[in-house]
Amino acid sequence: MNRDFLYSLEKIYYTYPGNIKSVFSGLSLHIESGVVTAILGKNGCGKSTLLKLLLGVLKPDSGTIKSDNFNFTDRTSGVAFLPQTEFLGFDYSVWEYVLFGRVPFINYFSSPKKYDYNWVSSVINELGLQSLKGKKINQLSGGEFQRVRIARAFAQNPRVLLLDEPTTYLDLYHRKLIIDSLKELHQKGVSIIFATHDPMEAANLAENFILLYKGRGVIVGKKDVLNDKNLSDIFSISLKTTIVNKQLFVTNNE
Amino acid sequence: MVAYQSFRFLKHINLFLFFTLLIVLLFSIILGRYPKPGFVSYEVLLNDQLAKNLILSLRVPRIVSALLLGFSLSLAGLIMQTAFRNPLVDPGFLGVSQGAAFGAALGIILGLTNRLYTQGLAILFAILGLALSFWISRRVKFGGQILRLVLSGIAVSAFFSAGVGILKYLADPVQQLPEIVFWLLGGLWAVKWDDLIFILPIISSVIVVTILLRWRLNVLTLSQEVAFSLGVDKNRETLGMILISVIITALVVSYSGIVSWIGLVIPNISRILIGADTEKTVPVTIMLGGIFALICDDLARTLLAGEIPLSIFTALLGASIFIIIFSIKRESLP
Repeated sequence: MNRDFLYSLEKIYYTYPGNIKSVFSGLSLHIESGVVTAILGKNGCGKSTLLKLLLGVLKPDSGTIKSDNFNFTDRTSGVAFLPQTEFLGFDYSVWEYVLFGRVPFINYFSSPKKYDYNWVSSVINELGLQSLKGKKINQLSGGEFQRVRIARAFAQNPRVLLLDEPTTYLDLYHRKLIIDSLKELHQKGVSIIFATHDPMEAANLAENFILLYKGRGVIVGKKDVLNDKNLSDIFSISLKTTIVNKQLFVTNNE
Repeated sequence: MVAYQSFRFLKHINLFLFFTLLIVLLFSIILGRYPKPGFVSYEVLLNDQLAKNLILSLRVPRIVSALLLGFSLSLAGLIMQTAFRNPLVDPGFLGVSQGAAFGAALGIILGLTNRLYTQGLAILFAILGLALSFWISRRVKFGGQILRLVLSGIAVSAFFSAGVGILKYLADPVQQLPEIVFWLLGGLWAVKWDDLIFILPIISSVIVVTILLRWRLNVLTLSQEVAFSLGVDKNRETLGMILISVIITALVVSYSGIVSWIGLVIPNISRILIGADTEKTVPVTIMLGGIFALICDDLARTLLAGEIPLSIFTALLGASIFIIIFSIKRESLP
């Protein structure tokens, strides 16, 4: 493996404050730079927690997270994050919301300038969101809002994009739009790490895979880790994988 | 396209509000009850020395204080609503107003004749009220963060208003009690230039700083993780902005007493007019707040021969507007 490690995690322990059961006890893994990585596991296995640790908003109780690529302590180093859901207290327009991606580039006592407007304009055009530009966030469907959130992340000009279940709740059409946008972003050299509980989607988009077992460690690897045994193990249900037209399909074996 | 359109509209609304504010300001200066109720004529202004003195040493400071009150309370309301991501929050909810009233009443009972001490105590207890609200909210085991804070704020406000009740009971009914009652009804009739010397520069600079921070204020509405990914220390900035709003609220309440509804209603009107972006709502909220406070105070001082407490008008007009906007503009609520 010649590529740099985007993240190197060594013996990470993490327990949420007030909880007894730990989410991670001694998790170690490497994440390559410049590729799409999927974090796969069932609900509650720590996918979101892992993303938040990578983002840095959660600090591990012990262990280290390092990066060969960028200064992990510098918050403006271009890690964009899309949580699973997002609550906005007020009804911003799509344009105003996407502009939030420019926050790292605008100092406290300033407002967006022409440069930022142009940037946001081109992001909106690139993602085909022109028709939504003047709409309020409240008026958007789930799929539209998801694309607008991705536009916000684009506006941040990220080097790393962390997404928590980006296509949950979406229909097939919007799912494809999101996946296409992510692929496009990856083409531009952005490292993408996303959490999902859908192995088929993970296989469709990602090159590397992190399979998280609830409290029992981790398997990291290429597509070959998505086999019957591993998937059955992490989802605690008997699963069978088949490849049709280079696409992975997973069916329940019971 | 859309952005540019709204930009042009924004320029217009800012200009419109600015001129409205100027006109209301001028009318307020010539409106009064001396020598007869109504507007003072040009000749009276030129020839009547008493009218001139009256306007310069009583009416103008009062108008300045009304403006500061409108600017500050509406801005503080906007900041609080943004920080709590809730359009129904008002500085008064978090124990700030009741805390300030308790502090002022305590100052009066202790016989502190210097107004600076009374104002200082009001500010101290306002901040204490907020701190207590936060402290209790961390111990409440019910509901989400916002609900807990609002509930704690209600409890803290109740404690302080009980405290004010005790102080009223203990107060000397001839001198101290009327003074305390003043705090609870709110009004600007006692404001002199001397009272403003200390407050005017602080509030003005806080307002200027907030105007400069107007776009940045938006980040408080983002979730913790998203804000973090954008390089924002949300806790620190939220706390800083809340502190700003508490300081200006406390300063204003220290001379005006409790004036309700401005902080709640005005920011909501601004959002309905021009949307949620604080870059636009900050100036609009400030100017609307100034206009609203001036009109209410004009009514309070001129409608009857005697003074009518300011809170009566802010509540009456504010609540009416509140009911109207929330019944016609339902879709703009989150």
